[in-house]
Amino acid sequence: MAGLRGIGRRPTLWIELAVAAGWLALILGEGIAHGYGGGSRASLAGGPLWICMTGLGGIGHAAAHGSAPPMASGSLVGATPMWGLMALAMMTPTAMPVVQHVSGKSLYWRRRRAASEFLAVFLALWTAFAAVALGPLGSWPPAGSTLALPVVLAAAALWQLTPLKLAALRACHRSHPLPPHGWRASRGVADFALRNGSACIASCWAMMAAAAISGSARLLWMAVLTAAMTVEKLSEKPRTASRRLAALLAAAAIGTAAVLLP
Amino acid sequence: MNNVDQLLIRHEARSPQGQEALQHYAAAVGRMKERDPGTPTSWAYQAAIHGTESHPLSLQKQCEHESWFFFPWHRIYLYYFERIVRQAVVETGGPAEWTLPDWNYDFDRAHAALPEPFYQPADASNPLYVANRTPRYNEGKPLPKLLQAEEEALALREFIGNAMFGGGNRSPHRPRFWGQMGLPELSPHGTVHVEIGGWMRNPEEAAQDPIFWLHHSNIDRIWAVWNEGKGGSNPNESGWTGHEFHFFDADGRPAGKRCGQVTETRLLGYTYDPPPGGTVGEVAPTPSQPPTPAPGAPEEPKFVGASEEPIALTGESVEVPVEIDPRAREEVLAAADPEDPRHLYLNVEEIRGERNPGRVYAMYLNLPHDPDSAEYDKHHVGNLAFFGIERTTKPDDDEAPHGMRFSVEVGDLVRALRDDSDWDREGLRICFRPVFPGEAEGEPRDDGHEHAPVEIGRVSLSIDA
Repeated sequence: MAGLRGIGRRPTLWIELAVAAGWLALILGEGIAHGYGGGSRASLAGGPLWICMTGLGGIGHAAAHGSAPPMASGSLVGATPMWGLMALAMMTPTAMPVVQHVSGKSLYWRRRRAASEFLAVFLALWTAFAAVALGPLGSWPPAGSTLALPVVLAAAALWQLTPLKLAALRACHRSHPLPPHGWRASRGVADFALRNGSACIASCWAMMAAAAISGSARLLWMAVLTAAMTVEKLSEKPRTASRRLAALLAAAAIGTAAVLLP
Repeated sequence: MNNVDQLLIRHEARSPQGQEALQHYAAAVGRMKERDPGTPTSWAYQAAIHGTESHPLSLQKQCEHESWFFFPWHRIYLYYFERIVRQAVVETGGPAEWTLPDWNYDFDRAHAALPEPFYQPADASNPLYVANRTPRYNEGKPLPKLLQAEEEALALREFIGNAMFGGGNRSPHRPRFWGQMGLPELSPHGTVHVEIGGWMRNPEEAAQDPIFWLHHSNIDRIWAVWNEGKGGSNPNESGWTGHEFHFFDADGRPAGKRCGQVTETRLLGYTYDPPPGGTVGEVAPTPSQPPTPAPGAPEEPKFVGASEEPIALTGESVEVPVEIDPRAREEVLAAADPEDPRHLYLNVEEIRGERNPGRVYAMYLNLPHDPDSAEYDKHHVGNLAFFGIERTTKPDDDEAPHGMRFSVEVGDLVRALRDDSDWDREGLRICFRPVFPGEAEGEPRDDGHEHAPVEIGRVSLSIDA
């Protein structure tokens, strides 16, 4: 009972539950997508956008019947909830140590609020970035192309080896002093979330792009890439983690090319 | 180990045996400095095992700080180093039973000065002389009394924990500077490093100075006194006892020991003079066991107050207000009660700087205006040294960046202030006051010392489980 009480008291419990709900929504949406399109090419390219579209009504149905790919047809506003869901499910696990840091370093009665404020800004940043920068991937690759995923995975592997990536990954580990009271506390948390979210985007954008175009096994790809990004960010040895992940991404690029290319 | 049955004794550097040992030490250091730097038994190689600015060779740049590995890593490091030096001592005609002396700067004021062989003669003919130390210490002047006191560290009751004796629990996969240091690692360890200056001030260079090894021999002695004289218990967690560190033995071959194999100096075949267990009645009574926290108590520290803005230390005294949250004002006083199992901590967080400022700061809680020396003593809560601060802005190639953090238990002082009606329940004031080594001797507080800026992100008050 004491253990259960401890879990119940955890200020970040609702966030963990929200992540689980996010994945559940993605899984359910995947089932709906297959129900509509039977795994058509459009649904493969659209990925989780499909869920949003089906939820919004109409557009997803059109895509399911092989007309315009969902990401091309969906408006920025329409696609935003999908990217928000992806960010919640995929990026929140990578940020949990930081969320716990923010919670733990806040005045004890403010822990849940501080964690919520951090996550709100962090996810808003990711969602905006994904909708604007990754959204156009919905109309790419052109129909019939099988090169998209291997190319993006290879690009992600190369990005892993750049100094910019290493600097961004290190910045993800950097903490920030948090003022304790009032609006200064909220501003301090928001400021930290902007810094950390920016570093996170710079570190993980390429893998997120791979998830966005990952095709028929998208849920599997999303899960694998989430695990990879989380392990990389949890590692206290950024260079080693980044290089190991580069090797895995390169291997994945070669493997998918071998499977997908005719 | 030479032989458990033949227990070797490490002597204080100023004792007759210690002075004789220093003569052989000087000859052996000279011999080791002549060896190829790529040889594991050379002086340069042994120093680089602690840290190096160059590309590290095998087993180099390994030092463990700011965690529960601080004491055992340095004990094993000194053990193998002593065996290598002993071999060199024998090669230069010295005794096969040679041991590394310790520099017990806390013994009395005379002992607070560097042992003379380290600065006389002050030229290249003396292998123990290092020109880049803070000049006053190469002139035989003593360390400030405030910095080297070991009494506070020996009064601690627990090994594991931030601001406890041995430091915080750290996974071996975490960075080697982990921000959870035990109190003796901060002072006297860190403060003496920074005060001596020169190489000693930087972990990547510190072990090049021959006094490093006598300083750490004293730190090792303090651990032994805490165990044998104070009844302090070492960790029994497998993550500590089973963790192994690797070095080179006297024959130049790799060797290693686990933390669980070095919990007593006798297990390594040596002890200290005077015997660490013999001081039990002379310093303070053995403390009682700490109260056990209530089941289900929160594991994370509970922050109840913090400063609003970062501050910069640039060589002047700085005072920082910390407002205590109204919801927690009674709880703070309750946690300061000796019967309460919780600890009340003052934390200095998110400390960053590019270079060590070369200045130690004394921290005071609610220091009155224009205090006298008795008030300084009463309100003193600890010292801040910044040994290793370079890593906060320039982490190792494969290390994640993080700021430094110091914590100190302030329950006793808060209680004393409350009893004397000096306690303000709404908040506290923390004063960071630079320590000027010659102040007690009437030297001016402005010594023209260049001070690299240090940023302190936050000062906070917390209650642990």
